[in-house]
Amino acid sequence: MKEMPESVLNRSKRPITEENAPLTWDWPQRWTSPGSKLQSSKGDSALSNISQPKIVFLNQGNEPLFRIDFQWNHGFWLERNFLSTRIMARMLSEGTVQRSASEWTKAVDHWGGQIRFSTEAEQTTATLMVLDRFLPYVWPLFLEAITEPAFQQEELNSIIQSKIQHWHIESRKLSFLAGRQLRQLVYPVDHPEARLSTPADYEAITREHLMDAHHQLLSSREISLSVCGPNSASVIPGLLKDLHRTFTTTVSESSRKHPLSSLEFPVPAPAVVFVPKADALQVSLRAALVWPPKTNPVYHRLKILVTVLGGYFGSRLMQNLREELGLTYGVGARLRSYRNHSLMTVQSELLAGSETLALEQIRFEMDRLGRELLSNAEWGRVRSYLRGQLMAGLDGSFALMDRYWDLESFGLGEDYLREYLRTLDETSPADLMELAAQYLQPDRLVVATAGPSA
Amino acid sequence: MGCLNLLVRVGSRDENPDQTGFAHLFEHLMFSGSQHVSSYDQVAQNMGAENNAFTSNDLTNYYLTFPSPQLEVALWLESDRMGFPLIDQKALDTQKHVVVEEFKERYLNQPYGDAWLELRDLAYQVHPYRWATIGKEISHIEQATLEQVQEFRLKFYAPDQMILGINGPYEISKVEEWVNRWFGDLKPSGTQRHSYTAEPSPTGIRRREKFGAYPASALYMAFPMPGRASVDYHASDLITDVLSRGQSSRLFRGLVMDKPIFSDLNAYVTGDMDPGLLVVSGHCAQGVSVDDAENAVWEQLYQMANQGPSHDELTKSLNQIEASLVMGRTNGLNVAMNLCYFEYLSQAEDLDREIECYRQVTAEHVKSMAAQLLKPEKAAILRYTPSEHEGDA
Repeated sequence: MKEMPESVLNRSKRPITEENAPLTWDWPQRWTSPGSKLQSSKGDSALSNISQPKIVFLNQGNEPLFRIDFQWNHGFWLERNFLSTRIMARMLSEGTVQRSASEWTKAVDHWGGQIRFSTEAEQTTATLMVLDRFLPYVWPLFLEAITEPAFQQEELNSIIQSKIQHWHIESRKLSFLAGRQLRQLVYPVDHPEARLSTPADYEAITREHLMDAHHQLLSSREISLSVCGPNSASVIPGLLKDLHRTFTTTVSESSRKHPLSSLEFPVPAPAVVFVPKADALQVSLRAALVWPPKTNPVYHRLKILVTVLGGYFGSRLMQNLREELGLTYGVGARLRSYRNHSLMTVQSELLAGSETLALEQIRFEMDRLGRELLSNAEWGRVRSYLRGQLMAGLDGSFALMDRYWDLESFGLGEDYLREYLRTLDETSPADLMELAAQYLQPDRLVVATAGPSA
Repeated sequence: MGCLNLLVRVGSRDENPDQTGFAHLFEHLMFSGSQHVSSYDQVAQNMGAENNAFTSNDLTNYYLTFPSPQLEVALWLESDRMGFPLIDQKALDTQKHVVVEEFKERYLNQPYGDAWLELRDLAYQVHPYRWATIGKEISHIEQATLEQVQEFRLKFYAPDQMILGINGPYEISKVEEWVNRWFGDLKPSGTQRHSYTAEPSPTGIRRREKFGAYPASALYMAFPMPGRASVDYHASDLITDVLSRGQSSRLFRGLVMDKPIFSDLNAYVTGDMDPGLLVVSGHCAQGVSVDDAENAVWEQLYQMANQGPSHDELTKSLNQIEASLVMGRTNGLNVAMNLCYFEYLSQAEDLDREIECYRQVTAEHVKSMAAQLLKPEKAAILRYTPSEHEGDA
């Protein structure tokens, strides 16, 4: 049995000092060390009157490249006006109070910088990638976009029209139709995930909505910053000084609590709904079960279970639907994590007319996992695969940073990866069978399909 | 982690025009097991590895990432299927079904999915780039026989047709020892690389109009351009960088944001070994006719051909390219893949000189290439127009 070493994440709450740096990921001897060093700081005094961001920095290898991320634990589920946070994030790269969209994008592109803003259900992220020698030029532009966006009407009009056109194109895809139907089956009508966009919703977005969404974002208490680059510690003081100068938003105490973090919703009723599309050549299938969130102790084992079912090339579903029956190019099962639940989904594009057979086989494989023990060979294979996946997810400084953010978003970090490895070591086929009987209930499945009418 | 990449010098350009899609189908079959490994995937998963493969016009590429101590197992695994694959009728039948579904999923069952099937057919008349990697039509895949599969294997799946790239914390002497141990007994095929029928220079504009229930008008314009190893390749590639890389680029800022004629618009190169295509493609904004959209693109192309890029635009593109190349080096598998690809082109060492190749290009060279390439008589233009009636004009 391999012992998980003390994690860098375990040490990440220490204040930054010369004495405790560098922190090294003490990797098992027979595996290689990524050689990266991760350090963090919380509540720097210079920032105490603003958002108190948590700051993490990572010295990355020899490449002359910086990646800097801001992350707010504030996503589009909290938006006051439908779609406003998503459009706001897109509009952050369309000019500032000081620079027109043309001037700002030209300046960023000139130095080869890549700046991306994105919003998910529960997070918003701003990412800068830039060659180290150009960081001093692009960093101020990055901050400027975050803190002083212009939200000019002309650019907003173009973005809205582009989004509507994209919507029209996507709406012809079976995966779009099945995916939307599934969301409506899983979530209650008043849940943000159940609201489906239409072109009219895009038309209704105004500049004022974006300014409100932006204010809401910067008022969010939970902000983190990561810096990943060569000798990143050396640039932190300068970055902090700039942060202090530019972030002036006062944070209200009320914004500290995530209003959706305790949102409960009923377990969705099992259903099978078909969306017809006359000219379709295949059938898109989406199925789901609502499971406990990542913070629940059972989550590690659920992740293992999903992998066995459909999480890798040798999975039960891939072997059955693709390799045995040849019904599809691919079928997968995965877990999507939210703060208060996770969603286990199965997705596939299938041979037209095969959806009934495919669904039967999906249910059969779910049921079988709750009735029959995995062979030691299969369990050993899944365990090795997942260990390898964990390593791959930590290979390289950017990957390490991604994994850090993934844990940080859920308030995890201390022992999470060590617990995961321990679970992989200690779980038995009997445990998985028992878990499958409890969680992989075929008759609880919520299913949406889209394709040609029979 | 360790990374192993194996490039086989066979792609869809090596196929018979009546048996297209074969290189890609064969790629699928290479996961069916081999003489000493009943299941490639199961062994890979047992060693904690992730693997996959892809096929292009010029090559077939297999890759594997794994915990670094597993390199020798990875070499054994890869060499066994390369030297001793076991492909039976059941495997062939199953993978034919799988590939047919892939064909439908990617090319037929989504709006504009057939664009590259159409565009290749329009832009090329004789060169095998005229069909897509997935194949010209589904029947070609359905008709593949076991005898053809065996013939294909013997011709192309041999060590003299392969390039191996390895990245990880290894001693080179140990790697050489293991490579020799596991690949040393594979027999070369002696297959000589033949030259492909050169595509004649187009003498007039070629057009294809598609009418049907499309959600928006769409435009694809393709121009013949130099192959990847040509001295003019980098200058030609820079045309598309100036036109389309980044949000300040001419096409995005000019025709998507400032004048919203397109909802999206991109310029890119196919980067093929033989002379390939420089492509401009996008979806028209609502209410904009495809004629107006095409005229707006021609204005931009003429401007590029007549004036070339400004000094600032060239500097910007070079900085963007350098940043992308450096980002690519942060991923071990990407490095292994690139080493193989550059060895295929000429020599692996050229990977480190790639940014120099771009930095040596002058604005005048870009302008000259734009003037040479972006001519109406060289263009192949595919247009989609929403209509109640389907069919080609």
